[in-house]
Amino acid sequence: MERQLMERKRTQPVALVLALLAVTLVSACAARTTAEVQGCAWQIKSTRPASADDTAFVDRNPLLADPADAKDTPGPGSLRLLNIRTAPRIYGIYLYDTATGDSTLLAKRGSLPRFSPDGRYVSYTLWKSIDEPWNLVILDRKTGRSLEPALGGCVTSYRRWSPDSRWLAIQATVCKTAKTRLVLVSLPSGVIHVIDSLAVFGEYEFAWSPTSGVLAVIRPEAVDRVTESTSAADLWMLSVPDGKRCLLAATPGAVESNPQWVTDRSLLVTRSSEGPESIHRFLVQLSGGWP
Amino acid sequence: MTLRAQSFRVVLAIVLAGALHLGLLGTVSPSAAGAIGAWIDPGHGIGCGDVGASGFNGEAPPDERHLSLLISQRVSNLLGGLGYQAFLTRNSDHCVPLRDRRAMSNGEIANDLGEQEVGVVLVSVHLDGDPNPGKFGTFVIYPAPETPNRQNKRSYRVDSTLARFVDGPLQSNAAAAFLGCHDDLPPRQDVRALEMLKWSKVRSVMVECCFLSNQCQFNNIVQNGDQGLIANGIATGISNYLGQGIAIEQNRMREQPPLGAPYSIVAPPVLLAGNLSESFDGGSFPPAGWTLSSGGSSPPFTWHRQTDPLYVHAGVGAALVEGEYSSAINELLISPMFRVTGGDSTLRFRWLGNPTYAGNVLGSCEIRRKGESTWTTLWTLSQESPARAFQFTERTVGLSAWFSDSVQIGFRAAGTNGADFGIDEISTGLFPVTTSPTNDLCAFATPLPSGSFVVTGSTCYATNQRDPFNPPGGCVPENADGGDVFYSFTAQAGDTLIVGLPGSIAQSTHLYLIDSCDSLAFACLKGKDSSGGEVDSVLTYVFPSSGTYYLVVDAMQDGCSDFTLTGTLRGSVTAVDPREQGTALKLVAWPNPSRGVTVRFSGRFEPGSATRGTLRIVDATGRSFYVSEVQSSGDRFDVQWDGRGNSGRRVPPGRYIAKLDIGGRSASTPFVIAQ
Repeated sequence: MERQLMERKRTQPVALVLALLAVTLVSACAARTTAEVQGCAWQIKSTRPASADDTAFVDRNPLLADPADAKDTPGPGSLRLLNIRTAPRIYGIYLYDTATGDSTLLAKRGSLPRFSPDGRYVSYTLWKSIDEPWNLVILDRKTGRSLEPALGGCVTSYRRWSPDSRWLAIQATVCKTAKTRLVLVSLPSGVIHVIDSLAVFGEYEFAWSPTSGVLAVIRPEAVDRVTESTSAADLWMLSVPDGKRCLLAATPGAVESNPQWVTDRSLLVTRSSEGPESIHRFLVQLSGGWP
Repeated sequence: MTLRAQSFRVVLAIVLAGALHLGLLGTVSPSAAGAIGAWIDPGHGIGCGDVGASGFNGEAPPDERHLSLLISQRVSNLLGGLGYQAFLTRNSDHCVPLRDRRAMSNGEIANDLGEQEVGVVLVSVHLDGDPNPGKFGTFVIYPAPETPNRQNKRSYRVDSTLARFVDGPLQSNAAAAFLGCHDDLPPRQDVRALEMLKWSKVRSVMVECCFLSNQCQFNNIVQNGDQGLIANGIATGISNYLGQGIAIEQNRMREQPPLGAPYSIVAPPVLLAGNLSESFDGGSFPPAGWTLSSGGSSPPFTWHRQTDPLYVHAGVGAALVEGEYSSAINELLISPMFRVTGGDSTLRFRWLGNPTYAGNVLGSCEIRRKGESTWTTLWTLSQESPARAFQFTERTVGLSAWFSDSVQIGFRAAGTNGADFGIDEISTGLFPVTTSPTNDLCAFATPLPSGSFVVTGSTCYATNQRDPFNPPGGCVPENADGGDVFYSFTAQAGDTLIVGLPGSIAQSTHLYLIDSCDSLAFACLKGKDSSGGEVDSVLTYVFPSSGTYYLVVDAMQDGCSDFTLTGTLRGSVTAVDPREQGTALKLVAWPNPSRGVTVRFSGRFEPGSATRGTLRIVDATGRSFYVSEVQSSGDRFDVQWDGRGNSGRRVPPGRYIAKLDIGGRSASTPFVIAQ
């Protein structure tokens, strides 16, 4: 049956992908994969192709969106974070005020600086050694204190501040064990919460809901050994901070990606199954929630 | 720190970086401050279960992750030699998430060596696999024009141009590398939405060098020479693109709307701009591009391919002219024309023959410029020591006098009734020119450190200055007619020297102690003759009087080798220097061998001694590549070396010695940078 659906989908891709998506998404809460499912009551209420009017929450808040230029990222007001070369092959981080022209050196070495939405924190990646090349540093501008959560030395460039600035979600790999984990760092304490880990070498994607209470997570389930591309990934909901989780869409052979909340009850998600010609963006309306 | 005055510079830097990133500054060339950064991405990596495609041999190494790193390192070195900045997204065998590889090429994060640079191109090096073992070929992939994640729609046109620049020389070299199993597959658009391509902000392509699942291609690509060919093709393509392609591309984009149909630019003629590489492992002879010139002899008394393992150094073939021919011969094996660049300023080859008979048939390596008929001699068999008869020996000669010229290399065997003369593993690159060891002569003996020591050296290319059996009754029972090298030290009466050679070296090497460099007046105090290879050779001597002494490592005829000398020189029990009691300065190199290019040196010494010292990296001949000040922390020090000499270039694969001098103490350790 599913094979027939796949064959027909090639001829009428959008309509049938929608149908397939609906079938698979409605089968929410089906426990699979190694991740543990707890008390899941999220439901897919409806899906439809995304339109130009569906503006993601992060696009309405420039401090939450991925900056167009990682070396010149926006901050509150007239502030910006600049990643400037300070020595051959070494970049430092400057706080730059476009209104006054003042610049302040925040870190002699670092990359990927990002403001928290409230502007209090600056997170960045710090190279330390070949054994621990990528470390997370969070500078608290209010106290002047720098936090260096012990995340194993191989954090990735992908991280997301919660809209309330109380959490930083990041994919972190322990270099020595190559174990990839999804981690929440609580601010201002810097306490680490490991909320998931992967059995495959893949890459998470995640997005904070506008109220900072839910993290929508794309969890890779299978990775093509030759192309290194994710060949199966599912959409999960994670409750913060209690760690409840719910599998929202189990779609074998398909890859969900780029989740973006529109409201606390709807999010955009991209689904692809056979390459670029079968990539579609959907708006998913949610109902239910945590019990 | 508030730096108002610096704000203008900061903004200017951003503007310049942005302009360069967008290619708005016109043609860029390596001479423009070496500013062009090419990111080379060795696909896959261990540690995350991500080994990539397995070879035809199944799960046993090498896998895609090993080979992609080896090829990428060669590409990086070649580009560096051509004046470009080239960086690797991983410098050793470990896993790096794909999004971080892309971020590195965008200049957003540093690589594992801490290098952060904006790239102009990103070339991801892969080796494919397929369930059908009969499938083979080489191809380049460029990003699809339209994906939801595409951030720069213009890059479709740009990437397809880069793909064609890389594809031209790559396919030419792949034809030579994969004789019998080469398939020139055309550049293709990415229909799989490959992670490396769809998100990259810089011009990016992915190269599938071959199919590891195909036996023929697998057997070729595991060979050094064929890896060099593929790397050369990729590097040549990138170099041509950076030198010419960007300018052509910008002109063409002015002519056409930027989002029009994709086009491709015809790449310039292929010029072998990097390594000349030939190991005679292919089935045909002479190899593609090579020619023969004969005085009239016929095989085996002219150049031919020899597959007898006795005559092959590595792989399955070598070039040979057989000896003991009663008529005169003048046989010349001529390489393809290639241009001598900064990246191939030396020629390395391995020769086999007997210098004793060089007066009968002289083997030589010669060079001539394009259009010249006369040859200039680079090397002859007659300059070699008889100690290396009939074993393949490496020789490296300089080509810098021919820089930027198009040249051919010739290997000649000329004379009557000489010995066999063979050649294998020919390549150009950045190699240390072969010279005699610095401690070849007793007068230039290398000082041995006190306390424990581990010293590496080589008797190859050393002259035969001492004979421990001359006069008969000397300290070893037979002659040692090979090259010898010398180590000096000062001992006090009662001091003890314990020094040893591993059995594998001791099989053909004598070790003995003399009291003077005077060739007429020296006395051989104690010797250790060849152990036959079964056990380590250990020499122990208690000095009856104070003085300067010399330790000689002396090869037997035909038996030169690299060696590691391990030992201790200490005083009698009552005369031990308190500083040496359990606090000897120790130096460790890790990883060793280093498959990447980074080596970490660490060690301990007694607290309270000096905190600053000097780290020196030398090769087996004593040639210095790198000198740097190091600083200790407490009783420890930990120094990382990125594999680049003080010139900024990566040192070639080979054996090296790290020497640390700190607080009047010194230690050394040998290490290897593998290919």
